Amino acid sequence: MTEKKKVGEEEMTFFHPDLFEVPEGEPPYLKGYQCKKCGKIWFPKFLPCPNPDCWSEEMETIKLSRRGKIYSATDVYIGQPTMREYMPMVMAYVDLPEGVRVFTQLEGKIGSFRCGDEVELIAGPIRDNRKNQPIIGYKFKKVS
Amino acid sequence: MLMRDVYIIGVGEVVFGMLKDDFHILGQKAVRAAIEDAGISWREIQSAFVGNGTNGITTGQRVFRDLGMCGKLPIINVESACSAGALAVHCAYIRVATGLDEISIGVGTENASLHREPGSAPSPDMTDIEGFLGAVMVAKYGLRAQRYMYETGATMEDLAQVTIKNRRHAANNPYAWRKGKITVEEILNSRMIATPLTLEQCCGMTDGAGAVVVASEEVVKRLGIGRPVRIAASTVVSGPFNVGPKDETGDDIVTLGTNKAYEESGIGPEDIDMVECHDAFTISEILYYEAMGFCGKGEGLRMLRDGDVTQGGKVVFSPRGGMLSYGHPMGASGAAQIVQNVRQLRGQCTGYQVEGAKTAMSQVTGGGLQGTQHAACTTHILSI
Repeated sequence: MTEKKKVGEEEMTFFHPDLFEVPEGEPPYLKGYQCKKCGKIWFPKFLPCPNPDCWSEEMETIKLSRRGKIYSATDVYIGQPTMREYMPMVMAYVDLPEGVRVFTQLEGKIGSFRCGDEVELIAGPIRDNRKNQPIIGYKFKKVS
Repeated sequence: MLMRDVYIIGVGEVVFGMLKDDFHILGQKAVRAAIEDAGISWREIQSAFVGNGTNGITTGQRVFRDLGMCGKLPIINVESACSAGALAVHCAYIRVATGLDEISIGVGTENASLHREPGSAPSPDMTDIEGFLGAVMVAKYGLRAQRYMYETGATMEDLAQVTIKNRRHAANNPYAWRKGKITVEEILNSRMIATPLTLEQCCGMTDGAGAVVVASEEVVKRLGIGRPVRIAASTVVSGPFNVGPKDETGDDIVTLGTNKAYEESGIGPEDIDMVECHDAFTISEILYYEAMGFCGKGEGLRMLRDGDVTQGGKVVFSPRGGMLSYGHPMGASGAAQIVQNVRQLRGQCTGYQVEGAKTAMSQVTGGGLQGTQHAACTTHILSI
């Protein structure tokens, strides 16, 4: 597959200010987007509101719950060619109470995650940029 | 708008595998075989649709230029990830059904092995958030398999039965890549890709091509085809989108697409004799028994265990061997499925024939897109 080069992508080190907040001295959180007109909640960021009967361009940023439940998890051994150093890794769908499902990497031991496990949000490296620097993004780990 | 009946008058495919011929040469071989099978002149084809995923732009013109057919007919390139080959046939079908053309051709072709990086897995586009976070298609199906096992108690040994069945089906199919006996141990001991899916539970990234010539009833009569294969349904749907929880052991877009095909054809699951589905991974086929309405929720495994989906059973799934035997060249599979279904209905599949088959369904999904289960799904029902 050809990978198109986007301006600035080679230097990205944080994924992504629109989606993820890591406040100083406080636990990180994901940013959901609630439509001011129809009230639907979206993640990641969409503009306009993807409700086709709405399409409003007025969205409100909301703080999503830091804890969720694993819907399913898989240990991935063969992944994308530019992520070889990160393999094996755990990938999962995590369901948040706001009715949003998030695809995410999990931090923790391979083989240790089960459907239904409670997890909480952390920050961690998710892949490297084109300069081989880690990009910090959102991940989940088991609730201790 | 009044839609005419459309028939398939010619089919052609290449032997699938890791091939040295690039996509356009594979496409040419399939096209020539289909034209010969139809018994028509190349001049009679009025439009061509070529489905492909990764081989670049102007892929259709690359196929037809070296056959001297560029300049003689409109050639339209079709993209829909893994659904492209069937979508190309759908587009050819529409040209004839609406009366625009008397004869059209749909082609699916792909060469992955000459161009892809070995030892890596296909992923959604990098502009898709899941792709950026590292998603690969095998992982997305791994998630579905893990959930199915959690909900039903299915085991990896159960999933392996799909590979065993499909490779057995392909044993006498000259076009299949991998075929014949394989054991549960061999399947489960093969390299783990994304739990619970080991290498032999995944379709290979092979190369191949298929071509399908479609025509009106008038052409069928002129050619004197006594028992023509009719396209009873040709449907295309896009993936329902929402960012909330979905039932990943169901498949909303496949249910949508196949229901649309049942309605369009007036032929329901109880009347379908065989299905070529998107068995890119063992779990896929099991989920599709359920999503396509051949059994109830959670009953897919029972169908497999009871022999309902193999030769002699209620509905033979993957009589050609499926993607687990052919591998899955992205743009080619959707067309190749239809080619084999036509051969089955004509009774031309010596050694792997579905006896007395009157109806055949084929289905391919395309693309992983965040918030959808697949981006596209193309379904065909054929009858004779």
